[in-house]
Amino acid sequence: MEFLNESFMDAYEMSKGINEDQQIENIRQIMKEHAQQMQETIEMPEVPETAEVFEPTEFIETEEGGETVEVTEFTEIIGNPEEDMEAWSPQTEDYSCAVACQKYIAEQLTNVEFTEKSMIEYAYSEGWYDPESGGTPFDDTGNLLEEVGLDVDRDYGGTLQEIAQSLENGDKVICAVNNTTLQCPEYADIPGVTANHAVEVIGIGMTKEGDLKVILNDPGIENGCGFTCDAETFMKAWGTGGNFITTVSSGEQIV
Amino acid sequence: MTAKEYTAPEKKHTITAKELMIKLNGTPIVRGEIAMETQLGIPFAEKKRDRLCISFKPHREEAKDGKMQFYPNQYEVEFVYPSNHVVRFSNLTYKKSVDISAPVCETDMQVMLGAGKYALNALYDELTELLVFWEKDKSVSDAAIKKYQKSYYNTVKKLGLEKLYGEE
Repeated sequence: MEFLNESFMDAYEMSKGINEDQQIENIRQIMKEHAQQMQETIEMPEVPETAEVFEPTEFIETEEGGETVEVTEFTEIIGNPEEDMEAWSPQTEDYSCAVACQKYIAEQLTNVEFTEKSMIEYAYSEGWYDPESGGTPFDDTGNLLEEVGLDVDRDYGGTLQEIAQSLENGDKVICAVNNTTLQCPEYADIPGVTANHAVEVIGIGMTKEGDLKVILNDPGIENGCGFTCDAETFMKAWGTGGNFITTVSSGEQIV
Repeated sequence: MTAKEYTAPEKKHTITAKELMIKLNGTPIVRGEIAMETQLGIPFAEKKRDRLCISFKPHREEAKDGKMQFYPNQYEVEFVYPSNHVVRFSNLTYKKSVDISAPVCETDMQVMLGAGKYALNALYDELTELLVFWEKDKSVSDAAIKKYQKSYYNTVKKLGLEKLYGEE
């Protein structure tokens, strides 16, 4: 199977060489250029101020204990988050986040519905997932997808540009993040904090205020379907695992 | 022809403890054998066969209701510095009955983010000192190891993690 860089440290250094702020700025620039190109090349009829609203992203409890949905409006989106969100379901076991993410992608790329239970059973039988030992090792992320005939690449030192490029190509992406950091970015500053969770990145969006957001299918939280976080927070959470990225493609060319 | 004495070029940069942790997290044993849902945890240092050995008790950590919950360690792994070769690895879930479904200790999140982070940074600085000693002399004194171990247990105590890491 296609595998990691020989030198993990080299790959990590490579990603750090294009520092996180620069990566975010690069994507912002790409999206601005893309938006400009769209306006220049296509004769547009009268267009609304903002693009189609993308929802839902966050759930906020009201004082009464009910739930309201906060909607984030994006002017530019890379990826196809609305469609990818349809595959989301919460992980069924404490340690099955990587299996859940593989389930999402298997359904998205093969148009076949899978149950997480059946994927857990298969992964367990192959030794790729062990709930009694705490889940899935990094290197086994993607094995289930190779079994269904998809092309899988695993690497450290991934960049936001690579995620954007993969999503533009119609590929799917799993990233190893620290889940506490996604909720509390300062947590990544504690020495020794490393990635402990797998999420599917389904989109990168720019708000009209110019903020870059990363859109996830996070199997580990109730509101994980299309969960949105600041790009800076995502980069911190992803950086705890050396920017480990699993890229999956169907092998078909996008025309 | 006279044989030339081998001398390695002088290293410009001694690895820090934080950089070492990144390297160790990228070793084949961590990537391939240890579940991603676990953290390596706080590094423990020992001298074995006059070599500097760093060991860990990989375990799960979960933030819940303002607390950081720590689960029992599922593995034991030890590396020898500077090659980072594995000295010892064990999946404890096969060796003895380990219930990893419930946490064994917890720390207030604000403590982790404040005093905990400060204490861990100080401990990592001490580990970096050990690495510097090693790079300079190709050895580490018993006194330096003892000092680090004392700091290790003090840090564990400050964070209330004795049930996970043990006591001095």
